[in-house]
Amino acid sequence: MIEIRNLSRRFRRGSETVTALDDVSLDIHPGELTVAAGPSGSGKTTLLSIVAGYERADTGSTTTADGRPTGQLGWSDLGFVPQSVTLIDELTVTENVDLPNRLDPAPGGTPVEELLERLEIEHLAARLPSQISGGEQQRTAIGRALRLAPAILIGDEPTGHQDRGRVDLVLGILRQHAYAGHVVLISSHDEAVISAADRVLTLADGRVVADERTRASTAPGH
Amino acid sequence: MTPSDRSSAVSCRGVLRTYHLDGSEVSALRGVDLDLAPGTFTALVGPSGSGKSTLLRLLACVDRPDQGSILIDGREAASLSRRGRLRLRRRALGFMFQSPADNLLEYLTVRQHLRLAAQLRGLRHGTGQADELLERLGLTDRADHLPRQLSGGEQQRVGIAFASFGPPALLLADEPTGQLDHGAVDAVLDAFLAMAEAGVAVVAATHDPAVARRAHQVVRMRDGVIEEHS
Repeated sequence: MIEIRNLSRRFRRGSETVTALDDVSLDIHPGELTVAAGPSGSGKTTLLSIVAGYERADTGSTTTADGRPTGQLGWSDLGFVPQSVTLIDELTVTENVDLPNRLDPAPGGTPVEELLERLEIEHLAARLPSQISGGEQQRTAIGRALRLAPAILIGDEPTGHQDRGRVDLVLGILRQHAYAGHVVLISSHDEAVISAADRVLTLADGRVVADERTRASTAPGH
Repeated sequence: MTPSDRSSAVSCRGVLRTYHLDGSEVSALRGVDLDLAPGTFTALVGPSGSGKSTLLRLLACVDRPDQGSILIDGREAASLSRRGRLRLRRRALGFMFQSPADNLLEYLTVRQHLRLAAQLRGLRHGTGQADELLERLGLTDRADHLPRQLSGGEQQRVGIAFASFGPPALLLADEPTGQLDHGAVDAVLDAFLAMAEAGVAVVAATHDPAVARRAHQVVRMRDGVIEEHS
């Protein structure tokens, strides 16, 4: 579980102060796909970036149930799919997916070949990022985040570069990870993604204005 | 390979590169001959549009000449396949860009950057070198930090450590001091000179007179050719 408490973040934009997050408190539970929704500028990316440790909060905390700050977790505990896909140009698709294990080897995890197959990029294994499409690059980044089977998976618009069919493919993989007992928190403004969520957090002006269980959460087989 | 080739980290002969933009031709390089010896720090200077960036792209193996030869660390880069150029980049080249943040990956800690550098260079046992670099650059207690948790100067030092790991045969720097204050400029130039002393050929494209003053040699470009080599 992730415990978010009194999280606030403000930015200076010229002479103006913008409130990106305004005293947000909530828990994100394992075993369900949680989607942060809301218009651009509502605070989704800031929330996810702080949880993942790529941005700092002005005040507040985000910790695991045993009190560890989520921003300090390694790849084996927290996988992150950033909005701007950041693969390493000099590494192949296989090497990029395997990066967490190459830099911080950890027992367990999901074999690279299995991830490539599930993400439908196995035929691109030996290609470089510059030789594949934006959608394929994003699926490579998803594979990288899942490589060490982290207990927490954070994705900022992780379907943003996918065509319709591949949105469903990625959603299936994210739901499968959640239903295996992990925390999965993603952001999206895509209705198809939001309707596939078990829980939808709607943000506006840096606050959570709605927190709803959806029909997907009570679907058979869940 | 001639004896002079073996003594060069880089040897360019008759390099031509023309771009086609909106139906017109732009001759970015019009016959460049250049030798860079290991252990030299070269400042590449000249006005905007003189061909510095094009030459840097060719040396970085991200572009190929229309004509001519570019020998890097004994390999003919102009005729290598895409994969061959990639192998050459991983094994023999280091890069530094203008912004400290552009030299780093936001999702890798300091230590992970050095592990990645060791893997790109094909070094199985890079841990000792990584620890030594961390200590020499005063980064040992920052090893598990992400770039955003470091100061600008610390980010710059990590960038230097990443680029110089191995070490590479050739380090290419594009305006490496453009966003730094005086103290940080000196630190970067000290690092370049130390790398040259270790046998690396360092090339910095720059508008900064401070870089040219401390370089071993200055190569001045104008209109796609080398105007002066001093």
